Amino acid sequence: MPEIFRFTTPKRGHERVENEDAVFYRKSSGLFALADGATEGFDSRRWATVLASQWIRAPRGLTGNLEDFESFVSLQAKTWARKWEGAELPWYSEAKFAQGSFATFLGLHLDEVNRCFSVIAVGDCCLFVFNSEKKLILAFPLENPEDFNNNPSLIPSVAGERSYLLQCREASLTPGAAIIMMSDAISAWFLSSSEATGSLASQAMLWAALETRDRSMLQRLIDEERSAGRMKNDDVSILFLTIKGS
Amino acid sequence: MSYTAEISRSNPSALIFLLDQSGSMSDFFGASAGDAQLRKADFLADVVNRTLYDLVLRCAKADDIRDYYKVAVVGYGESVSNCLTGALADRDFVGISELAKTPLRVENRLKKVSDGAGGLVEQQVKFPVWVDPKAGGGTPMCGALKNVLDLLGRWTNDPQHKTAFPPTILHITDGESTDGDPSQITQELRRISTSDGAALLFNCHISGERAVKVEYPSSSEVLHNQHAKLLFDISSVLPDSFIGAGKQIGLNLAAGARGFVFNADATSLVQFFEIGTRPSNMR
Repeated sequence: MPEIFRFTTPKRGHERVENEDAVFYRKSSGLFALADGATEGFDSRRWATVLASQWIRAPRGLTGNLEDFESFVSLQAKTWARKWEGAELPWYSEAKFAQGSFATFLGLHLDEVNRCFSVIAVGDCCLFVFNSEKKLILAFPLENPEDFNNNPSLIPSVAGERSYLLQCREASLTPGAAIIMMSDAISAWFLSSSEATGSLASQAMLWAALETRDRSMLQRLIDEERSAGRMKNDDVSILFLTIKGS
Repeated sequence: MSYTAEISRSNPSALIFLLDQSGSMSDFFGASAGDAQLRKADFLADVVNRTLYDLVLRCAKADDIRDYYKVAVVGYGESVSNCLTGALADRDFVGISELAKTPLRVENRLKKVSDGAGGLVEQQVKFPVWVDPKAGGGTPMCGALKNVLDLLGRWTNDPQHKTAFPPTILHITDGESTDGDPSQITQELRRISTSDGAALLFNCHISGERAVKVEYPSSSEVLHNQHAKLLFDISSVLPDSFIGAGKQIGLNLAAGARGFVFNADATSLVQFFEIGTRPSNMR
């Protein structure tokens, strides 16, 4: 079983309860999910939570089967909507509810026995795989900081509200590998600080904080990078997994 | 980099709709065949109400509405006045949350929506109304712009707004000013700024005649009349996020494009409001 470290922090200026990221995992099954609710959606925090928490119970769509994933989404949408059925809502909440909620999603199945993994993604939460020397060997689904924008693919809670792209990848795992799942703001930061010279210190700080599970160091790094304008002010979530060596 | 400030509850952005309500606004649109049935003033009021509705929804969360924007709606015709009436009549700017709770009335309208099987069905939707159509009098554009200048002066003097996304003015007019050349006062307006940049003035000229429209030009060379050139000169260049908003609705805008449409038809008018209000670094 991998060693797992989970960290999530809201946008600067927001309270913890306003964090619209959701991170869930089921260690025994090797299942990990990260969902990022869109700020402009209705009850996005809950939509992200429903998606991530239910996917680790029934990981649909892993082979990239869109129909399989869509039927999972449609089931969760019913769960999500149930909370608001019969509620007396003012005209604007009713209209907003009708538009529904949106979230990006990243789901990972880790098969340590067979030394491989499969991952699916909608949108811009990213998976990074490193070998035992901390060398980046895979960035999925986005590889460049320019790939991040204000319009990622999003899973809607109202069927047909929009279409989305489901991407998937399978690969083998090397002994001593590390996997990091991250929400979009920190993913974009990580990729741009990998390119920029003079950013080795902040990358090193990230690794140090993750390896020592130092949450306050991690928060300080995030605060600094946000203030410097190098990281977008957005909710940040990280799932850090270390695979045992042979 | 300018025009990149975060828009948040603690750092809201100001939006001003400046509406020509002169007598000629009671005429019909004439630019495209389908527009012939629409009175300019009626359609403009509908677009403004629709835009306010979209802004409210954008800011609404499950349990509250966030004041990402403060809005003012100024009209000019017989006089220069606040178009928001009733409880909102004596206010400079109104926060979105308050706007949401105080429409003049909520109408029931029929809207055609997809039935999920390739067809269309009519659905009743609620249509809140904040602004009623009005048309009468001349076109005191300078007086109106002076009013906006005062409003924005007060806005930017508030230390809370020092780092805000710059105020955006969406100006709709169907004719020439009857109280002088607005160039001077517009220059003063565009000198108003926050740390994120100068106030943005976008102008949309709507036409009652069948005439070729010019959308978001980068140069006044394509314009053949003095009035169009004047409006071009007083229009701000579109920052990147607005160009992006244009792309999202299918308009390919060149770098250096101005926030300016001449001889807009109904479709252009709708797009003008979309581009003008869509960019959001909302947090």
